[in-house]
Amino acid sequence: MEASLVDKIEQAAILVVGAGGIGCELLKNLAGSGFKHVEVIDLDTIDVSNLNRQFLFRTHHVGKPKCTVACEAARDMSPHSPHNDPVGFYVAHHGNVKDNDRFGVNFFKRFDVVLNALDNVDARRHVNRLCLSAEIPLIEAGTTGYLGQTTVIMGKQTECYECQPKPTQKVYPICTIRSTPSMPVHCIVWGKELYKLMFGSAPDSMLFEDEEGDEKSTFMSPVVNERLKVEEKPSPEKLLKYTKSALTALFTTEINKQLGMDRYKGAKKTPVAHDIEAMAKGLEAGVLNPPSESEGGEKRVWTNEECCQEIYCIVSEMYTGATSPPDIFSSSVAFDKDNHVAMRFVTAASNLRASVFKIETNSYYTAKGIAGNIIPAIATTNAIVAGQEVLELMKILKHGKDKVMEVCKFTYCLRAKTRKGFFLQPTSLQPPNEKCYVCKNARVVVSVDTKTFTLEAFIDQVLKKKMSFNSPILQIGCDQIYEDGEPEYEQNLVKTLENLPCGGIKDGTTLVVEDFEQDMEVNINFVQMEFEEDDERGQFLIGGDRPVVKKAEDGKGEGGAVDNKSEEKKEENNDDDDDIEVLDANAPPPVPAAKGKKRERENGVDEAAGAGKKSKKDTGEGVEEVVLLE
Amino acid sequence: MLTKHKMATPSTDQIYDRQIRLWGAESQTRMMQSHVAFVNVSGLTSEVLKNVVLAGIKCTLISIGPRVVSEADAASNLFLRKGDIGAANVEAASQARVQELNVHTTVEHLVYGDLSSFLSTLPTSGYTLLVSPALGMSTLDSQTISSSCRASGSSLILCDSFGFHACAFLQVGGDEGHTYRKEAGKDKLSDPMTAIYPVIEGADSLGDWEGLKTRFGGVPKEWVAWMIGRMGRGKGEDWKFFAEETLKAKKLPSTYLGSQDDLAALPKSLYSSPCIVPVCAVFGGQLGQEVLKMLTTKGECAWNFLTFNGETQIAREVRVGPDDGKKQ
Repeated sequence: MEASLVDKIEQAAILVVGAGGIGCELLKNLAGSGFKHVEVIDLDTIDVSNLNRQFLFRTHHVGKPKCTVACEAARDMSPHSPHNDPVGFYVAHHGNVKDNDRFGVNFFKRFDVVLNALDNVDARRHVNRLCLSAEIPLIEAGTTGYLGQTTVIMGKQTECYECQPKPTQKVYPICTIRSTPSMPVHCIVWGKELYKLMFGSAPDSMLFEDEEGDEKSTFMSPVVNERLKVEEKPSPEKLLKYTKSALTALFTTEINKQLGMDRYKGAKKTPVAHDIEAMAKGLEAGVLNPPSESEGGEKRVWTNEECCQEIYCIVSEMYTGATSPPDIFSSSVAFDKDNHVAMRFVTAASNLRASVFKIETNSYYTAKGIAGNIIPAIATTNAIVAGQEVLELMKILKHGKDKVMEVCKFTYCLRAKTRKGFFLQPTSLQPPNEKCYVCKNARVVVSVDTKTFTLEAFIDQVLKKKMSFNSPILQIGCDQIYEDGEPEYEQNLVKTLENLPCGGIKDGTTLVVEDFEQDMEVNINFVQMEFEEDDERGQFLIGGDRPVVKKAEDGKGEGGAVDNKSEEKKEENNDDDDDIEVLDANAPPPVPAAKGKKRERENGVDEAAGAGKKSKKDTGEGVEEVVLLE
Repeated sequence: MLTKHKMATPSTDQIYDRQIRLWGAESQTRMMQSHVAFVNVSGLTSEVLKNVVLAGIKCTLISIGPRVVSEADAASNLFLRKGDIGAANVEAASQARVQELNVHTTVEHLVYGDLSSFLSTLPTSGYTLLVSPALGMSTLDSQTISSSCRASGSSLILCDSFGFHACAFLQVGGDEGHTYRKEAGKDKLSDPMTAIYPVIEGADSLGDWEGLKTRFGGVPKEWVAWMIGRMGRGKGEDWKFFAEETLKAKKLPSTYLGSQDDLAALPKSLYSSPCIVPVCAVFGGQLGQEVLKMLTTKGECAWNFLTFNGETQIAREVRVGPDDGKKQ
């Protein structure tokens, strides 16, 4: 390495965001390359399943903050000694990168280059905006399984992270989950909600119905109202009685009621109610053999009888406090794939439901993969993308951040070589997308029913969840109508959009949304549009530069005018919302077939400027982005 | 009552959960039954070693000849620290740190006086794969390793990084060849096919490097530099002359590797400079992927050289004959 580069390496101030699989690799590479000024932000603590690739961690580190342990290891590997310069010597910041008080734009401005090693889209977007605002280069990478990619973002020169739409995760209409499941995943989502309904804060469950509801489901009373009192230390008999009556309501009475209402007349497969009495015979006789304790119990599919056993055991454990958190019935009892009790419950409950609806049943192991949206991550792919990130970093240091567009590359990492024998074949970076609302300040069109959508729902679901605003301030014309944390605007939250002050939001209204934390200002143009309750696109659409064509009502009318563009938007926009259950915060990992990827990449290279072809897909953990098949 | 206690030591299923979800339990079992020998660990092979140990594969570190830890070793080898400089043996100094990466697999260390005494153990030692740098040994020694591995059925990777460049030779399977299944899309595998990889001598005796160009470009400079680096080891003052003569003999222009100055600077980068860590990381990851394919017999391995250029960031395969016997 030439001496001038060595100097630049020793001077450079580097921020690493994320200390997981890619982050560990990055820190090892930075330490080994002689970097002295490195700080790391990470929120997570170390889990057992990280150990196979997050190689700076050992078994005795489980439970400790990732960034702290990773920085210790990096300091140990570095040829340099600690120093007291403004940007520290492998300094850990345990916290959420979205925490503006700690990691705002001024924090970012202390660094020369930011390296991302994140596992979720939301944080990536946030870091993207901060780097654009602070005018520092951002090196971005992600992996899923054998696939990975590295790219560099420099405001004004290259595409930003948000210039291309990120296809969103699969979502499931609520009625599918509640009444008409057809896939194992539907039953698993239902099982997660039932877990909340039985042991957590019941009103937070999607299955919860309040007293006033007209068509109350038969299971509400046995499951929720007749919850036992923990203080009274319920006897095994009481626990068994509660379990049986809950299961009977869920899998017998309610199903028969629905069948009686001809609910499933047109269904492909008619559900069949369980005979819980018969299934619980063993329990009644005092036999206790929870399948999760049996040999190989995690890998085989449990019988219905075993599922009942399992559920009874979990009810007992939860009520007697053997494994439950002390605050049963509070919102702290939420599903977590790494919580063994929760996962056992979801396996058993989802299988009982699946067999009612004649859907394939699954083992604990498989159910965990579905429920946790586990994206397999491996060491080798992380090593490749993190190595590429540091090579990009060296190029930026060598040539200066003004030359990012010229010297840096976008690289896919694939498992199989291309037809031409390439394993890594970098392509040129793309210039900013003129229609990007983040780096090009373009207008955004939002189609929503302004007559029913409340401001609160708009802020939570559209601005925060979908557009990743952190702390939005809203203005109609010159009048402010909302600011996060300001009590005087709170009364506006419950209002529907059209009833907001200053003329309200209607078809054609322009709303100005500012976020000082992200240095963002976006103009949103509204299109009035009604959605059906089970619209698979959700209850709003976020368009690009022109209105989205309205959906047909009653199957006729304006619907005929749907053009190609709206198809595209559909993919971009069918995100989560109130009526829709999202399986997990992270998106699922559809790994495209090798052949298509290959073609995609070669096209990207052969047709150098084929920007339109490049599409990135978000996934969860390793991050991950993969190439989308056409 | 029915309390589930968290086990004190996590099971291998838990540790390997994510990767098993990717490649399946059968592949994991195959890997755990494999045994990889790392001969005279370098910066690059320490990266491969890390990936292999994390995957749960049994490893043996082999020291041949004097192995005192140099400054360059400490700066390159992932498992060595500054404080190890001067220690008697690279592999001995790193063994505990390698083992720490994964307590569920075995990491052994063996010392041999010379290459031939190690190679004589090959027929009975049952190594699935040998990984070794090649720039630290004579061309003849690397040819001997290659033919010994082929005869005893062990696969072989010879690889080095030098400056921003890296190159590897792959020899998968023995005389009977490597039987594998290609990945034909998600969860689909082809019928088994067999490839018989040639020994490195075939590439060494190739007279015409210019002829290795394909319609996608000439033979990568990394490959040429590595081959000349192996052959020209120990030439000292005569190195530049040797390199130019070799280029000429192999029908490449004498400027193929750059200017006179570039050529004169090459020996330092080939034989004595510390590795550039991110170059080793990328290429070590790439070779790690190849090892996974080899050991699981799932997926098609590179045939039969791989190169990486850390400046262009391109990694590509170089096919050097003889190609016959490839398909059966």
